[in-house]
Amino acid sequence: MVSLARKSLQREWPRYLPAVLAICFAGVMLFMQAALMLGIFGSAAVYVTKSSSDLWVGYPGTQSVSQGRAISADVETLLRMNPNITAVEPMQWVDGDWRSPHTNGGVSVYVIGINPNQDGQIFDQALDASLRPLLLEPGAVIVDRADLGQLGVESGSRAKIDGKSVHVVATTTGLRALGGVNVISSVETACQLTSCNDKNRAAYWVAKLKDPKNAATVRSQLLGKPAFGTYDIWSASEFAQRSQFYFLLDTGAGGAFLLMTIIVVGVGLVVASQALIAVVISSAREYATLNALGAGMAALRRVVLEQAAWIGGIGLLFSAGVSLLLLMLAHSRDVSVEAPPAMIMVWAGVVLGIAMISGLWAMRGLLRADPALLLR
Amino acid sequence: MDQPHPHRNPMPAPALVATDISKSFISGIVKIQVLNKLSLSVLPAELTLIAGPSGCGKSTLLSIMSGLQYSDGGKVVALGEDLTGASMGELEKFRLRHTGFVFQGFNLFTALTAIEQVELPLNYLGVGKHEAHERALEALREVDLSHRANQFPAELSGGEKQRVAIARALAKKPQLLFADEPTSALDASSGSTVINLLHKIAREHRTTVLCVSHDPRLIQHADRVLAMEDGEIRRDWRTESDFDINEHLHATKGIH
Ligand SMILES: Nc1ncnc2c1ncn2[C@@H]1O[C@H](COP(=O)(O)OP(=O)(O)OP(=O)(O)O)[C@@H](O)[C@H]1O
Ligand SMILES: [Mg+2]
Repeated sequence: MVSLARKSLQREWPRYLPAVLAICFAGVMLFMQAALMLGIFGSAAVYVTKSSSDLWVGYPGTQSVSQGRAISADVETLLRMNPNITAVEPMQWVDGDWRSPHTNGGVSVYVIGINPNQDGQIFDQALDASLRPLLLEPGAVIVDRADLGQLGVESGSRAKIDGKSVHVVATTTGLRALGGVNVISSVETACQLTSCNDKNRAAYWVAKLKDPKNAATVRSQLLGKPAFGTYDIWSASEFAQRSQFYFLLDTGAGGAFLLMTIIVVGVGLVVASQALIAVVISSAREYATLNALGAGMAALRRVVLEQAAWIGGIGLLFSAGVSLLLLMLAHSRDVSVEAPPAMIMVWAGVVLGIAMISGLWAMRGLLRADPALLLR
Repeated sequence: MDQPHPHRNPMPAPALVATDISKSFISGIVKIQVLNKLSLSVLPAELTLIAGPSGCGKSTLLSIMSGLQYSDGGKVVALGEDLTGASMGELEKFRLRHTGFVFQGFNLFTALTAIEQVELPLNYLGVGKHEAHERALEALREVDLSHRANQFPAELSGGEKQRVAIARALAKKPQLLFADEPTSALDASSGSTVINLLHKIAREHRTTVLCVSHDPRLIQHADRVLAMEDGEIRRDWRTESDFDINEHLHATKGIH
């Protein structure tokens, strides 16, 4: 069997290069956009996803971790009374103004006060066990390595938050925030730093369960007790999702992402289909001859589609290679990017889809393959 | 089909019969009547040449008789099959099984070698890989190009390209072979090689070859010549036989 599509691609690849490049370009754009998006998406819920707490208790109607309002410590008693709960701790969330000799003006920071002891739940997947005790020192803070420049400090430097002195005792990675800088301290320090007038109030109380699968049951046991104050309870996964959706919908990031995706897909489609249709039209007389000899239009369309599939496959491979390099570059620069398998599958589907739809579009080029036109 | 010289037979059944076919084109607001109730029978196993001045409708007639284009009126019967009411798909199927084409332009895929060009249509016929290769080789041998089997079109001369195109049509073993100006892009000697090939195919494979050309040099190579002018056939003569075509046409009128 002579594969016209494959032979043409092999032997006349320069003619197909524009189409392959269009697919490749669209592929890289889509990949990086999605990976950055997911990276940012992850940042929105990093407080939840990098912690081992099963339940989050906070102010009713809280849309996102960053939107927390302080609630009363009474709820801690309620949590401790529940036999399904093994550990409870507060998490402080206060906004602050960071100044150092090397910053121009203030940098807006989120001070996250956590339990500095070994059993701490918050960020126990982001903070090395050896780092956490460093927070016991009053005024000690840990920041993300990638934020050092923005904060104008180095590890070991001193700076001021709201006029009070802090000491950067260590750095970590993977804790970059959206719209500000995460600064981790102990609950004590967080309270001292900011005008937290009531030490017993905290943005959240978090709890660990004997069996995390019971989250829903325990939640219903804990709800509806107005004597313990105004609060609501979410499972960790629920709260993470909430935070991400808040970011996606309320900040307009979702809309921007969607718009960019549509533009990239649209441009990819137009360029690839135009490039492919040019190749088809350039062989229109040959296709017409085949049709005269009896190869049906359906068979000719299949040749075009097969070419589109090859172009899609090759473009996909190239863009995967380039994307991988960019991903590694992003990682080395501490840019939060994520490419989970599900995203890669959807991405590959979209890229191949662009190629195939271009192929369908390019079939219009076969309209010029009317064999009657050969007889003149 | 066991007669070596069918045209000596007083009554060979025509392979192609066109009756009262008309065709007009609208060009802007002007309607051009290209064919006006033209009737024609083409006999099997010989080379019939339609000659005439440019624009007289030769190519249009050929495309209608070969099932590439519909006529406005009239009837075309090819190999006993009525093509008049056939759908595009049915015409494609008919062409696949029965017809070969040679065009003025050689229309070879630049990415395929000579043998691949010839094999390709066989694939669509459903011929197996091995057999397609054998048949393609044989067809190339017949046009005396087996030594060029692995060459690309860019490496072939015009005459060689046209011979590949003939081999491509020939490998299908068609009963009908249509050629539109097959020599007009070629020099005299390549042209005479090509027309001799077409003639040989008609004789040896008993193929009905219908060739259209305004090149008067081809006339001597044809078995029968139809002179066309203004969409009508003005003269109809045989070059080397005593067979009286008018008598024959008269006798076969009943089929129409
Ligand atoms: N698709 C079309 N649309 C409009 N006019 C057409 C079309 N096809 C053919 N014609 C017209 O029909 C007439 C006959 O065309 P045809 O191609 O059959 O001529 P021909 O005898 O083959 O000429 P030549 O020897 O130059 O090839 C011409 O005047 C041409 O302009
Ligand atoms: Mg013509």
